[in-house]
Amino acid sequence: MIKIIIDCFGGDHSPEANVEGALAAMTNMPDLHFILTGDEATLQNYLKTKSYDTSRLEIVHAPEVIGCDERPIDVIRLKKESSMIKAIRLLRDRDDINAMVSTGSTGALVAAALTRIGRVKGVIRPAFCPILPTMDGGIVGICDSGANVEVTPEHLRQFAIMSSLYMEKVYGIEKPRVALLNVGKEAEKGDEIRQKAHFLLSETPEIHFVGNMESRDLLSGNYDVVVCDGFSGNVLVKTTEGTALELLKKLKKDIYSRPIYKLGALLMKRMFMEEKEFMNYQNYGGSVLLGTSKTVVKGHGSSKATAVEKCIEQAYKMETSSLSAKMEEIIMKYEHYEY
Amino acid sequence: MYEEVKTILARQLRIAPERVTLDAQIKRDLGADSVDILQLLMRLEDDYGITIPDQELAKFETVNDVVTFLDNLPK
Repeated sequence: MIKIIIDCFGGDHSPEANVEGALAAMTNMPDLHFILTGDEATLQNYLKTKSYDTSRLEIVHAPEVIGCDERPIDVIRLKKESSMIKAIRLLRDRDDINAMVSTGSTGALVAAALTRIGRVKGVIRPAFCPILPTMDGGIVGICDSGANVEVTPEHLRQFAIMSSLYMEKVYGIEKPRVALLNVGKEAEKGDEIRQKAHFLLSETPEIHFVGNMESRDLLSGNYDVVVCDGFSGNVLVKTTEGTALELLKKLKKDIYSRPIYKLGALLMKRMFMEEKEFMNYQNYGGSVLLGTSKTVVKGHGSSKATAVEKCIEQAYKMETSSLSAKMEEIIMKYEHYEY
Repeated sequence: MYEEVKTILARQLRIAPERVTLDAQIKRDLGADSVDILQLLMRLEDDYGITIPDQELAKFETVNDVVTFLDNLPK
């Protein structure tokens, strides 16, 4: 049995999308049990119209709501009765809860997870690893995409180990090709951190390091995971998503500009719909926080039920993949303290 | 109090305890980053059952600043 706790009061479509996502996952995965955190009356009211196995779902009342302008540090200190912080504390304190899914504030979730949940032995910094579709129909992971703005070469090596294992164990990619995000492909490119990281990654036989990657090659299909600091990773993911969306908008506007274009587009309608679906982030779930002692998955703030269900699937796969044990085994080989 | 702070910082920053001298700058000399500061803050608040105001936190530059703050807490 896997028990997942869902923070139901964060995100644009919460709590409906979060509850619907949980119910859908419950139908498809018979050994899944859920705890929903949030305003109990609202959740009960929504659930009373639904048909589900009540023995597999529990509600924990959490009346406080986190505002989008609240500082993460204030949230973890002062909003202890919010659905997110209550979920994090329950995840930490209860052995029967395996994982957590949230679509709430990223900053608050990172701060809470880093300070309230333990780490896999040897892991210095947990890191986010979202997935994007590549042009050859595959996927690429980006690690880190926002948990750590400041990094050291050793952090980057750990991100590489964690994300390579993640792509292998959760997505079934054999010998994932690991790249280091840089401003050029040559080993000596970039600042001192990137140069040292390149050396460390080259000296880590447990990963298949294929060298530096320039950001324009992210979706080429030549890489399975890209390692970077959280600041660059966040910019990379958002720029890629934004470019795709803006291109689609321009394409649509251009098609409507002339009747002959409209006619052509009509003939290609099916292909356009397929491409739109291919780029729809709702189909790719959320961003797993790698390196925490218990699984935390962050869904996009605008996640609908399908995306929440995908996040739950990711959490489920994380829990059934023995990822943490393998992560610890490899990371501890390179672990060193000054004392 | 200094010994307690020294132990917390050395373990968190994975550095030799001898480096955690009273006049050491937490960021510059000990290499702490923003996540380390956040984790230190939460650790101190949990251990001592206190909430450290932002204006006090801003004053935490050296190890001695942290020790002095904790020494001055009401008993």
